[in-house]
Amino acid sequence: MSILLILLLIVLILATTGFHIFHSWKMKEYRTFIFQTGIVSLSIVGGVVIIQDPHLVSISEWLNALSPLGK
Amino acid sequence: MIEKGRISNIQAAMLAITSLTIIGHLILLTVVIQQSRQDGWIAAIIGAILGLVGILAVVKLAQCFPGITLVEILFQHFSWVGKIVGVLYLLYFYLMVILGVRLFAEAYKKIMVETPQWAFITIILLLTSYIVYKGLETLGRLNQIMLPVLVVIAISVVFLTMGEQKDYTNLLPVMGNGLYPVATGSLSVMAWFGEFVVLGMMLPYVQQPKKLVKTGIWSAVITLLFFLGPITGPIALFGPVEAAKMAFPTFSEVRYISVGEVLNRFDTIAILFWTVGLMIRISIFFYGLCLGTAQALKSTSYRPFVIPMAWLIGVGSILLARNYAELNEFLFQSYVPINLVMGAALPVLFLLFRRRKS
Repeated sequence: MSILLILLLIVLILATTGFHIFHSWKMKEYRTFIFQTGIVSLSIVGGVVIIQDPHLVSISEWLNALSPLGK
Repeated sequence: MIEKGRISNIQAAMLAITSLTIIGHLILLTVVIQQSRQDGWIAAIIGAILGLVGILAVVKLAQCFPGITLVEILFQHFSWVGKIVGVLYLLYFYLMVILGVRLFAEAYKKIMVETPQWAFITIILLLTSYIVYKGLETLGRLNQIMLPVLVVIAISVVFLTMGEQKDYTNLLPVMGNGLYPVATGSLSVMAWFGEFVVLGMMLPYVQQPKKLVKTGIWSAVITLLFFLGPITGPIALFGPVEAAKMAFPTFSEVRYISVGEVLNRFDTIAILFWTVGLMIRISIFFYGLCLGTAQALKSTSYRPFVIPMAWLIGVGSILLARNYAELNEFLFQSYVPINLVMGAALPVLFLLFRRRKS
């Protein structure tokens, strides 16, 4: 089931962002293209993490560990 | 220039007021009531005065470099240090967007318990992506229409809760617990005003940049006025100890309203207030994030980043915290220091550096 969900996520992300990424590549805006690809890749990785185990990562926990007010 | 639109000074002030007020009602209220208890209103006034430091620093920085945004200023005029801080600002905008989206989902989860969180996140992201895609002018005008409606609702809520149930003696004794609770509360309020830094991405596009100091001060004063009602209301109604335990004190307060036998479900109005307010707030930070990224990469438009960023924001908002308790911990431990650094310390530092250089 989770593999199906992951596939659905990837298809959805590519379907919604594909045109923008293709347009940047076509217009030879390579910096934008690379950054967009990076953002999309990060989103896919994050999405997979959420589908597998939503409690695995917590951004607030990392930030609280860095905070001077943290325990 | 990537952004072609222009907004008036009033629209800029209104954007700041909506963005600050909504986050004040949703999270800062809990933080300040817990820290300062019945002296929360004193902390709010002192914090607002201190918060002017950050606001004026951002405004002065924008006036020193007319026509360019905060990220452009940092990338173009402060060498490699500026570039690092510029990237930090983009991360800060991202953090504030995911916090807003998560708060939206958490607030709705309180009423629609069985609906999954991602459903709320999808809705708000579809809405805000469209607003950001349309540009600054659309955002400014939308807020100009919505804010007066929200103000009327907020004022009516204040008057309708002024019944016999409220006991304003709960606000006494003044400074009964000493100066320390007031000091910590005012620092939190000062940090809250630090969110004004996002306006650094919009100030170059206002019509009268010379009047920005006035705009900044007025937006701070009006935001403070909008915050005094919600901070005193729950304490007067529930007492300082009970109010400090609540996740959303204003929501609990609004639930007490009943006008005759007809109007007695005012909580929907609170939800309307939060939905519109958070929509504007998320759009402001989302816009700042996309525009800043495009300017950092020297792209010709910020629009190609909107949809990819929306996905990243959606994922980030779920990964921000495991549950509401963890999110609350984040608000108490990290939100205040992050905002103090990004919203007050860094703008002041860069302004001083600029003054010394010139």
